[in-house]
Amino acid sequence: MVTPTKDKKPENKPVIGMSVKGNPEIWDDEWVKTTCGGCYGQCTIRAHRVNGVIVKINGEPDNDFGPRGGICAKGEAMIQALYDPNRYNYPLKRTNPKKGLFEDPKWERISWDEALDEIAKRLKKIRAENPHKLLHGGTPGPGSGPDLPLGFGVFGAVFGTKNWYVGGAGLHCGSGSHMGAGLYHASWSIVPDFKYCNYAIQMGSNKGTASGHSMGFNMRLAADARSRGMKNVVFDPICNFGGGKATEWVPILPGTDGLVAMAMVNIILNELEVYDVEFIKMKTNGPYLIGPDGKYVRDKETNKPMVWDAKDNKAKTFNDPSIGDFAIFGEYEVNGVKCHPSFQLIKDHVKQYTPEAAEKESTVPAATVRRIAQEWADAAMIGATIEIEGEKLPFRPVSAVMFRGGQGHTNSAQSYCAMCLLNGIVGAMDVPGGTLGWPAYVEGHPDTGRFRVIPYACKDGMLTAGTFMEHRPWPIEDSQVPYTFLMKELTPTASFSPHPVTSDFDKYWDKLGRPYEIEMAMIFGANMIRSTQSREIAGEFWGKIPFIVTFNILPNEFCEGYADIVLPDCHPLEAYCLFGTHGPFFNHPIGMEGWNFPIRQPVVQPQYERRNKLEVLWDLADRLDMRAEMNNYYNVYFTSFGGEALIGGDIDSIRHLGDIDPKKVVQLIGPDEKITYAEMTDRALKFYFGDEHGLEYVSEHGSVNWPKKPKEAYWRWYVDVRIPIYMEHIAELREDVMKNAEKAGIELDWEQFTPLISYFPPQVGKELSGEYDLYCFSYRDILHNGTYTMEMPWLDEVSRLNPYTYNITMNTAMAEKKGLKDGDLICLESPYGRKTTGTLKTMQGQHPQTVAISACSGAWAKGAPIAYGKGTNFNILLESDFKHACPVSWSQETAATVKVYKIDHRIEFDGAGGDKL
Amino acid sequence: MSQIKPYDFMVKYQQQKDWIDGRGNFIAFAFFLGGISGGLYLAAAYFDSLLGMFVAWLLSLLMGVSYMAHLSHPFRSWRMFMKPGTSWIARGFIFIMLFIGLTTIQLILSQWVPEATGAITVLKVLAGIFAFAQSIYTGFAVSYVSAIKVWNSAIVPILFVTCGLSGGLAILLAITMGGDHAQLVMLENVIRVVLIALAIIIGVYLWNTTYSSTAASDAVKRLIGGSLALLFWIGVFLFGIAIPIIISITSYFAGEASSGLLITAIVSEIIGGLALRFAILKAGMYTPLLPAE
Amino acid sequence: MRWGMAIELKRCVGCYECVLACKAEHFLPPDIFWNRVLIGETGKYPTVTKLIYNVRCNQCADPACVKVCPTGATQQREDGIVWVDEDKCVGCRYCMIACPYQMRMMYEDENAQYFPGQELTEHEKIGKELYPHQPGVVQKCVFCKERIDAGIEAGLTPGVDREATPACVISCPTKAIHFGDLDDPNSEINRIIKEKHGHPFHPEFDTDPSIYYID
Ligand SMILES: Nc1nc2c(c(=O)[nH]1)N[C@H]1C(S)=C(S)[C@@H](COP(=O)(O)OP(=O)(O)OC[C@H]3O[C@@H](n4cnc5c(=O)[nH]c(N)nc54)[C@H](O)[C@@H]3O)O[C@H]1N2
Ligand SMILES: Nc1nc2c(c(=O)[nH]1)N[C@H]1C(S)=C(S)[C@@H](COP(=O)(O)OP(=O)(O)OC[C@H]3O[C@@H](n4cnc5c(=O)[nH]c(N)nc54)[C@H](O)[C@@H]3O)O[C@H]1N2
Ligand code: SF4
Ligand code: SF4
Ligand code: SF4
Ligand code: SF4
Ligand code: SF4
Ligand SMILES: [Mo]
Repeated sequence: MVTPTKDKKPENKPVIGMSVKGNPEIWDDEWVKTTCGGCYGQCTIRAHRVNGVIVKINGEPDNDFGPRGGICAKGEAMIQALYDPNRYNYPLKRTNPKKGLFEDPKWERISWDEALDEIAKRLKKIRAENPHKLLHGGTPGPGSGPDLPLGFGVFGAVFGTKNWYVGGAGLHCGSGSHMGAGLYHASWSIVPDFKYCNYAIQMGSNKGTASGHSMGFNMRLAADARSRGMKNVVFDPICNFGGGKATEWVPILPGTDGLVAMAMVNIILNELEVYDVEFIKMKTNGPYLIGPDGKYVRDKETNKPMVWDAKDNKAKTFNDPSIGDFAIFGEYEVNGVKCHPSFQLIKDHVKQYTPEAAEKESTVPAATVRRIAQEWADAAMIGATIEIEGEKLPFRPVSAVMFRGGQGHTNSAQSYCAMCLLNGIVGAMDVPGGTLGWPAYVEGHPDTGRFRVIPYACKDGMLTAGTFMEHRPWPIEDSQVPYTFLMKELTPTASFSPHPVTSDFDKYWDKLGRPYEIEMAMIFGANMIRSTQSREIAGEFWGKIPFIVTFNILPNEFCEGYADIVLPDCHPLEAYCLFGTHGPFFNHPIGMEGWNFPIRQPVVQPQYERRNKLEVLWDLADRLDMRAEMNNYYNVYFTSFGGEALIGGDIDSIRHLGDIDPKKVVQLIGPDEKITYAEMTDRALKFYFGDEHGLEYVSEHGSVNWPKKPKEAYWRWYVDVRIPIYMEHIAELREDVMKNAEKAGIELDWEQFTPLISYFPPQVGKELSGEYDLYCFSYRDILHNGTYTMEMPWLDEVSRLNPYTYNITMNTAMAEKKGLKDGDLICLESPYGRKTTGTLKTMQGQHPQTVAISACSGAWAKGAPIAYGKGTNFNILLESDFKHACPVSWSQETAATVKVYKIDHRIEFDGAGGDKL
Repeated sequence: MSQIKPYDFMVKYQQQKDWIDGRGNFIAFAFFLGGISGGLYLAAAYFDSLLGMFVAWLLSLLMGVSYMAHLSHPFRSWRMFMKPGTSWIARGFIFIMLFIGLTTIQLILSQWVPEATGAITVLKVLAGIFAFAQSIYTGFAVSYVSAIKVWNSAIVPILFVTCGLSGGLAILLAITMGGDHAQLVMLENVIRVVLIALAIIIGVYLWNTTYSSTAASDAVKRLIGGSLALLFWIGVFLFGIAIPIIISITSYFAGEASSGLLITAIVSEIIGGLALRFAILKAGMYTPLLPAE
Repeated sequence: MRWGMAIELKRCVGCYECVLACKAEHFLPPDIFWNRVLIGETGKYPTVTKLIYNVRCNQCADPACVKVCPTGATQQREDGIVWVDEDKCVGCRYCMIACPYQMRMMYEDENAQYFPGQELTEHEKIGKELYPHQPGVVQKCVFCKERIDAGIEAGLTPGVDREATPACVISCPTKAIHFGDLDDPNSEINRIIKEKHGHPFHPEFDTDPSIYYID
């Protein structure tokens, strides 16, 4: 993209599609197609550049990767981030040796060479000693999430460190959901098939109304569904986004969704007895026989799990072609042990979850649970089919989804799986109308067959994702004694880890003999101190790292408090970015929406000394003599991901580089080549979509588009795979995890390592007392993404116009009972003495036993003056340790118990150095 | 209510601010000045007080100045004559200009060509009409606004005129104080009647408005018992009605009022008139667009 | 011809993009809003309904603002669009007082910046060329008349072609806002209003709005 200049004036086109007053001279009037970097939805957009300045952002109307012409407010406000006078424009070096929450870094401008030499010097030493001493990571969220694996993932993997830490995501995001969605849908997350769904249940997620993955196109699809009359039941402690648009809002206490889901499963299986027998028999491990030890009864020879053929009345291996009928009930004797089909065990197991018991903990009336279960079972239309583009498919127009809220507790994995079970028993998984994963099945571009990702069956016939972010949920890896700072290898069911940013990390690391220390951190984006829980605990950890480099565009609390060098990155509107996503399973349009492969390209050239982070990493690689290795890695990456699938293309590939047949790796980049990011983009595009679809083509068209087949959208019955509704692998893992954990002195709630999906009360509930009598939780605002967007003046303005964004909310009657009223300055205090403050806004639509804080506000960075002091930082209240983590998924407890009282000033800003508040 | 949060905009009852805050203060002044100027001219013309008419002329000029001060583009104010067909402000502006113009000529004639009685009388009648118009239009300008229920009442113009008249009479009283005793007594009698009328009109207005709509009754509540109560009871009631009435009634029974007392009554009356405009303008409330709690 | 909107409340999620689309389109200064999103709730816990209304000038057929304007600055075009001629407005604020929907604003502080005390952004600077605002005059939603006019001139149809349709309409991610000619009985917008029972917001204000809401 060449920016015209005044003297290179294009022909004088009339100005349409823009409000212009008077007769200004217009020498540049261009709409550039690119992708938004406001969140990792990565919607396709058109940016309008006039006289060299971006004046407007529109959604791209001509493809499905976004709201089809619409856009969200954050996307519009990206213009203000681009032109923010507070941006980082040059490499900066900290001159204040002190680090801490409120320390002023006293930045000094340095040259790129100076910065990179210094960084390379340190990296060289570390790589020679022990590459694990480098902690790297960042944000998957705003900016360019996909560059995270392509840039940092690759760099770190080639460098040799396994200490890969994902910002606030690790603590709040979807540890349980990614595991569950991966296992059950081969996908990163799930969503109702809005096009056909008639009854959607949300448990702690605002998908389609404010947040969630691919927020852009989901808002559009959900609106169609509402307008069509889809019923939508939202379980949520607050009636704001999801609840506010629901046909029925059901207030619920945090952390109890699993119990409600289990009660519904119970009613459906044991009272109503309507379930999709076919699905259970063919698509789940429901027929697999379980022995008294809770594990599969395996064939002695093949070690395959056994099932009972009800026709032949004998046990066979699960995929024996001669099976006449899979038994899902009964008791059998196989291999000399008494065993049951797992479905029988599940059905019996859930009997304990009565709606009455669920009411006690969740406050959802038993009658409501019963009614919703009945409605759900009716709406599932078990047995119905639908024809789409000539394909006859099962039609299950019900869907239950959960994300951040419902699973952000110490029962994360089990609660999420309980909700998945609801979909599973009625067969509403990746079929029309049901629950869809983000597309996990792509047959590839019609011209080349590439960009192909197909889920398949591996170990025990279970569903395996064609590609995945980080490690794949299946086949499950072995538990290991922790050796990374994240210690995740201990429990391979975890997607993210709160460690090492926890208060108990050192205890375990000591016990392990402190194999090495982190000497340096390289962080891309991410606000590692404000978006994560407990800034005190986090500050303690980051403060000890001798050298921290961050790549950012704007000042944040982490950069100011802890970074030694800041490198100025390009804003998404100034940058190339090849992958709109790491894989289709991550944020590609769902259902029958088309396939699109958009790229991001600069709409304006980067100003000052801002540089594309990938090219910076390559410069570093040059200095470390690892460019050739990186180039080779990219070849493997592209050819394995969606290419001549060797192993699923993901970060993990590098760890199995040896398994790859080098003959199959296409040489996109020669070992000695020093190409630009644009050049790599061009080559990758041509590789995937053919020579005519290179950068030039995509630059003009914005994306490569092709239609989706029903088989791709609704792949479930086209692939011979099953899902573990009985989580045998957890039973398998349990002993090893316990053994390995002991070596580190780790104690977890081992009870949760149960294969029968169960409800466990969340830690937050256990901390409730007479004094700390309210639950406090946070939820995303439609206006903000993480902490980043708080600095954008337009978003700040409208946030002030919104009753909830910057305020702490509480149920009106409860506030009255506590003698509080609208506008009071209040303090929330946790039983651990952690405090945060803010302004009260009462609302009827909130569970009386809760206090809620929207978004991730309460900024204290001095370099971000618009954000400073706005709203309340919820995360201050959270604890960070194993006691507050889900033992299976390692999700953190993201709710806290609090007491609430009036206060005279904002104590968490004492010492912040900005305005007294 | 005035500390309405940005997010309460049209979601809660919302006080109008454009004609009260900051520059908006000048509107209240202008309305007040227009009222007393008109009242004073009428009274002065009736009692044939040249000085009174001159002061009315001055007050009207002052009203114009106050109005200009309220505009953000005063140099364009000539444009305000453009739409008298529908706009009360345009009409008012014309009334003021005509009043000032007519009075100027009339005053010149009265002072220097007093023998032109025919012309003077005609001018007086004409000026009198516009004095009345200038006084009553301020009420129409307000009562025309159907969006603000407490204003949207046929009583408001009457109220404004009466109030203006009482203020005008008070000023005339001040002007005549040293002079003709009989005239003074007559003036006092008239004032008594007008004051009582004013009190009744205010009562009727509040009563009537309370029953017109929720927004209006809310406004009335704020006037008599809420955030505007001080302004209303002390400003409007105490100064505008109670003190002047008490003084004039005592003077009636005493037969003679000390000039000190009279001056107190006059000043009090004027404060009251000003307070009334402020009170009514401040009471202006918009009905929320969403159902309020 | 009478331009109008139909807003499907069920679709709207209260994302405020319509507000920002307008701000960007017209380079509106800080704290100036030509449209807004009103948020409230009715009912009592646990039976609560959240209310989200995106509102802007209703381009009333019988506009209170036009009638009260003494200068004629506020005027109505043939196609129903009510707008303010900045060069004529004296700033008497009568129109602001009179609009029952309170959809008018006075632009006062010409020094207001989005990053107070810092330099003006390039976006703000170019805005002063492309869509200058006069201080001391009243502003309001003009139904993006410049887009409509240029669009029609280029042979496009407002409500159908994006370039000729108001910015807030085309930017809405949920497609909650429809735009078209209310005078044309066959227009899409009239069909929607009829089929889905559109009704003006607060018809009792008696200004005959050109914006219809659909519950
Ligand atoms: N209270 C509360 N806290 C939460 C959550 C919550 O719901 N409530 N949610 C959690 C979840 S799920 C997540 S995923 C995390 C997200 O948390 P983070 O990943 O920390 O996201 P942000 O806080 O937005 O920080 C993003 C940073 O990236 C920078 N940035 C933006 N664009 C670019 C770019 O193009 N290049 C570079 N180099 N930098 C860029 C921004 O300036 C900003 O500093 O937050 C978690 N924290
Ligand atoms: N606008 C916006 N969109 C985003 C993001 C953003 O920051 N802003 N971030 C992106 C990212 S990183 C993520 S991870 C996704 C997250 O997307 P979501 O999972 O939709 O996250 P939230 O919007 O925080 O929704 C959580 C909801 O759960 C409720 N909740 C809290 N605790 C509980 C509970 O125990 N039970 C139940 N039933 N409800 C509970 C909260 O009130 C809230 O309404 O969104 C993505 N999209
Ligand atoms: S949803 Fe995310 S990617 Fe899409 S426009 Fe909004 S901020 Fe940008
Ligand atoms: S842009 Fe659309 S969805 Fe967003 S607030 Fe406006 S009307 Fe509602
Ligand atoms: S909504 Fe208000 S500003 Fe718009 S035309 Fe109607 S009265 Fe005038
Ligand atoms: S402020 Fe301007 S537009 Fe409004 S009524 Fe006065 S002159 Fe007319
Ligand atoms: S129609 Fe145009 S001017 Fe009116 S609110 Fe929408 S974007 Fe703004
Ligand atoms: Mo996240």
